[in-house]
Amino acid sequence: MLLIDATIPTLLALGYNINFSKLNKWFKALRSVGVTRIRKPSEPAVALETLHGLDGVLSGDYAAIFRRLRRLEPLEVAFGDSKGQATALAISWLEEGGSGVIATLTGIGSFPALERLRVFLHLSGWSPLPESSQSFAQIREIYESLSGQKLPLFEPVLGRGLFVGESGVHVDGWLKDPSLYEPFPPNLVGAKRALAIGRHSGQGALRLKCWELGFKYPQEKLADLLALARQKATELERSLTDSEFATLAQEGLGGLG
Amino acid sequence: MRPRIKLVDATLRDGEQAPGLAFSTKTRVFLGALLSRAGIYQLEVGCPVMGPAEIESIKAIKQSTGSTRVSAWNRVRIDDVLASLKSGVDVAHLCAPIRESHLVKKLGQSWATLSQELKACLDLVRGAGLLASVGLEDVSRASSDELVRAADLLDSLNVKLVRLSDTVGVLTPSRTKSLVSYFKGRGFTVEFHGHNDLGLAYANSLIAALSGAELLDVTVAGVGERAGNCSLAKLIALGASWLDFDVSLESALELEAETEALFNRRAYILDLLNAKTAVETFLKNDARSV
Repeated sequence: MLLIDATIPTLLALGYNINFSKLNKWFKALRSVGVTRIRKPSEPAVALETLHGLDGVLSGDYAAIFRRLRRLEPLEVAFGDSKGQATALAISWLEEGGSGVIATLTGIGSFPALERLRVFLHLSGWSPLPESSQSFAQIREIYESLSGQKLPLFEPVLGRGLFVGESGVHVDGWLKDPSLYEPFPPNLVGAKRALAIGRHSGQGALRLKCWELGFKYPQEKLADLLALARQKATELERSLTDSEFATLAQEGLGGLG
Repeated sequence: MRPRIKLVDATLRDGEQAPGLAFSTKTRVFLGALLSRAGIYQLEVGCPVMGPAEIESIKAIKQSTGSTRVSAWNRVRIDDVLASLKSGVDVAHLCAPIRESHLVKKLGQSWATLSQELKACLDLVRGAGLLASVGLEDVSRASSDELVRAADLLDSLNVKLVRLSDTVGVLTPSRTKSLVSYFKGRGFTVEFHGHNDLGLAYANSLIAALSGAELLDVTVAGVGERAGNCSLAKLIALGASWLDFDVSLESALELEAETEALFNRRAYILDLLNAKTAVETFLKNDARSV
């Protein structure tokens, strides 16, 4: 299945000042996650013969359209994102047996998002990724260095904050089987879990946080501590820092002792 | 004819569950009133079983939202429903895990037990004169047999409104279409709840609506766990070519601009990520003890 990266020519076309010293690392990191073709700075993002656009076809009988288009045997397809559907179109194209999808990291320049396509191919079982890899974290860092822009903390697949958990039901899921509330394990994309304590925490999360901070808390006092933590988070209108939580826990035990 | 879509805003439930966020009752009332004025069909505002403070907060939100329908989220548990009845909401939403792995690993429960408890919860909700909706949790990863089993159960319990929840955001447009079509074909009114883990929440919501879903779930600015949910304004902007909404794009954009600061959790999350975390070690070695 041909997946083509056009991030570098797209960044150049958009006027970014690329740090060319990072290019070799970029090529290597993309190859490590199975990207089959990577456009160089001197190449156009989209070649003249590329099938380009099709932004709105998802609202119609797109499967039938794709089947007909495949008979034309296009070498490359670049779905446009004016309707916010480029990645969805590319996935649907792949599901219908298509190939040769052009994508860019995060979908910059109105393309499908490369990293989301890659994880979709993994989840669908068509092209598994290694269970544990730092490749996506490296790709993010190189991209940020190339483009001079930090990605949002909750960017799909690449965001640093995607695996921060707080709500009782989801942290309970971590404790029983993390796959219950995660689409893929953080290791897959070089991320890590972190635990926030706040208004939606449950007792399991409190026990985990106490363990993380290196102290034990009596089981019979956890319900009181939970009430205190929720009250404090509501007053502050945000989740608690570790030191704020530790202070509450110490107060709950009647001081430092 | 263009489908007319009812929007269900879950900012004060699913949205606020995003790590880092916590709203006071004053802020929740403010947000609820803004969303109600913008024309949202239904507000899902919290989980009453969290305790008396949450129940009082939900009551206050309900008072500020006029004729907008207000719902509360519940597990399929009598305690949850009893708390919802105290909170003055119009709708009790019951979230039912339908995958065998959820039932076994999360709840240690059989399908027969879940079915009995769902019936008991529905009897309680209906007996109190509230509307009921049932959500199928993680419907995206359910097998065909699990879907048929769930539809049969809801049918037998006379449930009309079903929420299809893409709990971990792995649905694709083709799978969304087949899921919605199946439940529509079985005679249910369908609500779709997307998550944005693969960046597909908007496309999936559009496909769901074009396949017959009458209600779509959103949050302000798309706030939610992991990569979040569908943003109210972005869904309206992207769907306007094909769908009609009761909320105008102008109102949605204005609302998201006015409330932007409330959802800024960047500094908190960065601090947390920079701290030494031992969650992975714990999950590997000590989770069983918890």
